[in-house]
This record gives sequence, structure tokens and C-alpha cells, in this order.
Amino acid sequence: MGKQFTCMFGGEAGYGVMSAGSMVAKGANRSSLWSIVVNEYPSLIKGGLNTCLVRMAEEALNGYEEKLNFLGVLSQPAFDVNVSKVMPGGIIVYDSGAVNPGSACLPEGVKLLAVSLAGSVPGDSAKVMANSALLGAFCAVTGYPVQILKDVMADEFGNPALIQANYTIFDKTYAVVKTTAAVQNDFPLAFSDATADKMLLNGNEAISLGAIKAGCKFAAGYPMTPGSSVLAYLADHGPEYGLVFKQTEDEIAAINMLIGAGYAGVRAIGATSGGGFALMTEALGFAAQAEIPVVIVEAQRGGPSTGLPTRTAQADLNFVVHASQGEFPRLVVAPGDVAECFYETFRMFNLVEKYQVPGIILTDKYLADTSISQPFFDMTGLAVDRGKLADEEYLSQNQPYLRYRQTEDGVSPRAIPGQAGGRHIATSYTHGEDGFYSSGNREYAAAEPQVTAEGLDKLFRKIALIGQEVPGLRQYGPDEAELTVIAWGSTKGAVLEAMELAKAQGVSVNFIQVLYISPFPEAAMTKALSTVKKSLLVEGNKTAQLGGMIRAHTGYKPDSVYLKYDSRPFVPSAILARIKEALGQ
Amino acid sequence: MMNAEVQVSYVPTWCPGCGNFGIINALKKALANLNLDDTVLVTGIGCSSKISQYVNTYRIETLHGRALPVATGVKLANHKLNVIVNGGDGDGMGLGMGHFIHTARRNPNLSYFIHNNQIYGLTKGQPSPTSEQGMLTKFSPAPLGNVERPINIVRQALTAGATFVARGFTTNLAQLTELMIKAIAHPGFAVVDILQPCVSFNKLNTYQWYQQRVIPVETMEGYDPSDLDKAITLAATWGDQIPTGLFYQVIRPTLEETLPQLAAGALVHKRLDDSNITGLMQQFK
Repeated sequence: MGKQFTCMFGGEAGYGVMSAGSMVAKGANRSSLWSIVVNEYPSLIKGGLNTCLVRMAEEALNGYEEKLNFLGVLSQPAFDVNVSKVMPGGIIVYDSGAVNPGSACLPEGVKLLAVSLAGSVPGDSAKVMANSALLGAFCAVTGYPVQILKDVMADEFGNPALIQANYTIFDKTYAVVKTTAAVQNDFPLAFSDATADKMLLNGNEAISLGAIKAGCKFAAGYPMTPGSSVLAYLADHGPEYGLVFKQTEDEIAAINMLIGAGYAGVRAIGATSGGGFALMTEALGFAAQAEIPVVIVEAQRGGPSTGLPTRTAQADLNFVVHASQGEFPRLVVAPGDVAECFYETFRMFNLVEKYQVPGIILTDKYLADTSISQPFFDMTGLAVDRGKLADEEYLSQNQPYLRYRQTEDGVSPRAIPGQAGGRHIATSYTHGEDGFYSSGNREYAAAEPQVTAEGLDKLFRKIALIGQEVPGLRQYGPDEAELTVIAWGSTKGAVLEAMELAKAQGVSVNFIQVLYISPFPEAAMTKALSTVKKSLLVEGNKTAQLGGMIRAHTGYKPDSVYLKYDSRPFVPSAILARIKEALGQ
Repeated sequence: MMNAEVQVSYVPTWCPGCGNFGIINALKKALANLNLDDTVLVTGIGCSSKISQYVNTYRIETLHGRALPVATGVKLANHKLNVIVNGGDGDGMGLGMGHFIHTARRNPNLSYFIHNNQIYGLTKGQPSPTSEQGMLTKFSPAPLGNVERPINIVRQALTAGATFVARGFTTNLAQLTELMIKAIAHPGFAVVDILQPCVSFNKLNTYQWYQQRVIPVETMEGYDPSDLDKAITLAATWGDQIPTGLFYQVIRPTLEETLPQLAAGALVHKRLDDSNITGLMQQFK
């Protein structure tokens, strides 16, 4: 790991601490630096405690640590909760009008600086512009380049009057802090011109881009944190690409609209969290039974029930893999980082059409909401594949057209309403090749047991092919290692950084990331496990849900587990500690 | 002429004398004027929803109560299609009630034919949201019977904002066919409440019971299908007289018309492989 700089901005919701942090990160991202932005906020509109942590480095980042070089706070709780996270040599700037540091036990060598922040802003503007005062103080004490930040502020505010008003507040606080406080002048990381374009975006934004790139033309959903921002992005930018977004009365309506659009030949996506997904479960089986493609994003949050709307968790794995009555094939991909959110969303749109199955993109609040610097996505090789569509020639040669024709691979050519010769019934009932419910006819009724079993066999023939096509696992690190970490989803970033930390300390670790949860990569996992000496399973839930699946599919039981279910993301140092513990070090 | 094409080889499983036979006859006549390749029949689940198994358009037999959102998705994907929804009173007014209200609010160009037999038939006799108070069923036995007030579908549709609201009766084939044809032609959400006996489980609302009560709404005092308040007043009539016919029709922009993305053509005909997202990526710099 190279040099790092981590800062945190904290205050009540409505004071703009999150936008302050994101502007600092954006400025770094536009230069040669890489950044990650981790927001924590409660489920409310005003008040409470919002924090925005920004970590910056001279090389690409995978995760973050709550080890702060700078803490800027606009409220007492923001100070109280985070003061212990400041590293020796760090600086705390607090709003003298809102925070009483009292007898806070400061870490060694931490400088405490009282600055009038909200108080420096006249009247009603205090709330909305206190963050510009805070940024002025931030630049003054850390040496973060003023012009870089001001350029970002200008883009952010847009309106010249607003830009000027914020600059004035920024400059005033900057000058006061510069002249009154003994401050360092050089930012510890070198800002130089970027050699290549980088983006700073989060998982939900990457999923949205993946959907647009894949030719998705319809989205529907009901607001639910942390899935909503996919819908908001598509509502905002989708129309340029001819995409229609419809907010629905509930998630049941949402998935059924998506299925209707899928039946009529349009690529469609919905986004929700566990509670909304629970409402979608019956229709998930309908999509599978009627063999209609649909893509759903499930961004996990704390549960059960309403749970913790704005906090992270990985506790919906079993639910998503098993949701809905009966047995049917489904795709579940768990992207581990923002880039995988983009590429796997693109791939998922192809897969659900090729195999005519429902597909779920399983993320979590941390991945959905955490922005991280990365190169522009590479469009090379991203080709739309719609699978078996029944074209005119097929329909003319295959009359009567059988929508659910038995085929070797279990996939039947799909006719789209409007096509001559393709009329059929798509149905949620168990059905024969022509889509008819078997009990409605005497001959059919006699064949019901056979039709039922053959129909299910047809659905499940798809599984083998899907399994061959998708990369179920990704492996990182040396082929053989003292310890193998097994994890899924957003935990990937923290594990990758923990591996580097371990390597620097002479501990060899490798990592198996389970990317596709369904169909479960049984053969690949069995092979990967065959060289594992000792393992550590890392999951964001109480009951080791992935561990249970691995055991069910391979009989393997991990040697140790690190389960975190306190509603906060994994950090590399904690994983490193568990690695060492697992190795008896 | 087109009836042969509408017909499929499967024989309906409805009970002899079922009110659904009259409805399918009217539907087939209404479909006869349409290009069946461009027509999608969307149904829920229940005896009435099985109608999609017996006509030969494109059809999608959805989940219980969920036909309307599926139909809306079909319509938004390809607004050039004729999209017709059929389902029962239990399907549409029970699980489907939320979707019904919101579909009326949105006004997509769909026609919705509700086979209203005031009972759950396929599950063998439970009270439906339109069952009369006091009705004795398996789930509402004596002495109380059904204690809940019934939903008046026509009035519900009017207050929710449906732009075409009518009521038909299964044995009045000429009127029902005409209402269906008008509903399909109406640019917006068109609701037809279709009175239909269930000969097996509804011993109260029989053919005779309806025949003694139905009256053409046009003959009633205050009839004006362009006046919502008058239509709501007439819709409240349910007892010795049950009005049938067109209660209300108004032209409002359809959901599809409010979407500029559809102006250039149906979503289904858009290219999938020409989305250049470089501009979007630039915005994250």
C-alpha cells in the first residue's frame, strides 16, 4: 500500500457534509489520485448524524479504514462518535458554535481546531453553505489544492451567483484558518495531471450504465433504499436512450410490469432491497414458469423486516437464491466491486434472454452507495445477444408454433407479440409445449404427470449450460497459500486489501470470490477447494449463508469464519487480524 | 368470419350454464375486427381468466390479481398492440384492487373486462369483494353470512379515474359485444363490469335474479355519459334496478401519450446495440 490520506466530514443531515466529501474526492479523482467515498447516514431527512469518509491514494483503492488524518465536524455527535478515529498527527476542525470538545480524550498528537463554521455564514444560508466554510478550513489545514476544489464546486453549484456565494464563504474561512492556526501546508499526496480519464461512481450508477449499454428500455420500481438510486439514475438519464421508467404502486406491480415488457420483447430492469424483493417473489416464479426474461437488482440492507434502511448487510443470500414457491432455475450474480456491477449487469441482460430465466443482481448498501475511482469501462467485446428469438423463417417452418417446444438445451425459440405465426399463450400454470394448462383437456389430463416432469426437466436443462457460460468463481493471489479467504459480494475490496497487508507481513493468502451464487459453481468450487490448506470464510451475516451453500454443494466446511452483522462494512485491518488468528499467529 | 381463427381446439372447462360462455362469445365477436397478431389478451387467475386458453391471440396468463401491471408493461413495450385484460371480481377487486386504482389513474390504453359473478368459483365458493352482504358461503357460514359491504365496480372505476366505464350482462350478447368493441376502441383505460352468474356456487345472483333487475342505463333519468357526477350517481343504483350500458366516457391523454420516448415508435422496435455511454461516463469525472 502506498501513501494514503483519509478525511471525514460529519454533521446533521441537511448541512451538506456528504456533498463536501464527494467534492474533495472528485477533485482528487480528476487529478492523478484515486479516491473512495463511504457515506453513513440514518434514515431521516434532517438532523441525525451523517458522515462522509474520503480516502485518497496515489494508486487504485479497494477499500477504506476508519483511520482519519482529518476530521471536520459540524455537530456534537459527529465529534463524539468519530474523535477516537483520528490518527496521531491528525487534525480535527470543529464548528465552535456547535461543538464543545469538553474533555474529549484525544489520540496522541492530534490537533484540535475550533473554527466558526455555520456561524460564519449569514442567516438562513448557514445550513446549506456551512460545508463551504468547512471545505475552506479543510484546504487551509491540509494543503489540499484550493483551485482543484473550487473547480469542482463550480461544476457542482452551476449557478454563478451560488458559486460566488460559496467561494466567498470558502475564502473567508480559508483565510481565517491560515492566519490564526499553525497549519501544515503540503498535502501528503502529490496532485498531478491525470494521465487517463477516471470515473468516481458507485455500484448503483455502474449498474445503471450497464443496463443502458445493454439496451434496456424499460425500468419500473418503488422507492426503497438502497436500491432506489438505480431507478433515479435511469429516470434521469434513461430517456436520452429511449428508456421509459415507471414508478409503481408497489414492488408487485413493478415486477409484473417488467414481466409484461419482457414478454413483449423489451429488456427491462427493476431495483429494490430485501423488503421489496419479498413482494416480488411470487412473480419471480411466474417469470421462470412462463420463461420470460427479467432483471432485478436487490441491494441488501439490514434486516429482518424494515431493519436498517441505510446500513449494509449480506443477509439476503439464502432468501434470494430460494425465493418463490416450487423449483426453477434462476441467475444470481453478486458483483464484488463497481466494475463488476457494470460488466455483470451487461452480461445479465444477455443471459436472461439467452436462457429465458429471471436474473438477480445481488449487491448491498455498501457497494450500491460507495463511490470509488476507476478507469472508464471498456466496451470491447460487449455485444448484445438476445438468444433464441423465433424469426420469420423459423415461424414459417415450425407450425403450429410451440412456445415451449422441447429442445436439447431446454431453451425454446421465443415469438414476440406482433409477429405473424407466433401467437401463443405464455402462462404461470404448469404447461405443455403449446403452453396449455394440462387439466383443461382429456388427452392432456391423462398425460399430466409426464407433461409436468418433462416441463421441469426442460427448465433445469438450462442450468448446465448457464453453468458452463458464467464465471462462477474468481480467484486472486498465489495458486497456493497458507490461507484461503472465501467471500462474496462487496467484501471483495476489503479482502483484496487485507491480502496485500498480509503479503507485506510475509503471510501468503489467496482468495476465492464467489461471483455467481446461482447456478452455484459446484465443479469450480470443488476444484478450487482441492488446493486449499486452511480457509477463512468472510461474510456480512450471522449464519454463514454462503458457508451453508458451499457445504451443501461440496461437503466442505471452512476452517474458520469471520461473520460481521453489525450493519457496517468490512475493513481490511479487521480481516487481516482474522487471517492471523486463523493461522494461529 | 374470423371466428374460426379466434377459436382454439381446447374446450372450456367451465361448468355447463356458466356465465363465462356468454362473455367469451362476445369477446370473440369483438376480436373478430382486430388483427390477432397485434392483439394481446392478458388474464389473471380464476375461472374467468381461463378465457385466455380458449381464444387465439397472443395471450399471457399471469398471476392471481396481477393482470393489470403485466398488461401495462406489455402496452409500454409496444403501444401499437391492442391489449385486452380479462379477469374476475375476486382477482381484480381483491388482490388486484391496488393495481386497479393506479391503472385508472395512469390511463394506459387498455380495456379491462371484469367477469363479475360475486363469488369465488374456482376455489369452490367463498365470498368475493363484490358479494352481497349476508351471502352464505363456505367462508361466511350461517348465521352471519358475509358481513362486509360489496364493492360497486362501476362506481369504483369512476372515482378512480377510468376514462371509459360500462356494465354489461352475459346474456345480453348484443349489448356486451358493443360495449367491448367500444371499450377496445376507446383511447384510454376502459372498464367493463360484466354481470355473470356462477351456477355452481352463487345461489343468490342467478340468471333470473339479474334478468329481473337489469335496465339500460340510457333510459334512466339524469343519464349523461359525459358528466362524471351524474355517472357516479347512477352507478350507485344497485338493488331493484341494476343499470347496464355505458356510464361514462371522457378523453384524457393516455399514459403512452405522456411519454416522449414513445413518440418515435414502440420501445420494442428500438435498437439495443447503439447505446454510446461515453458521455455518461464523462459525467463521473
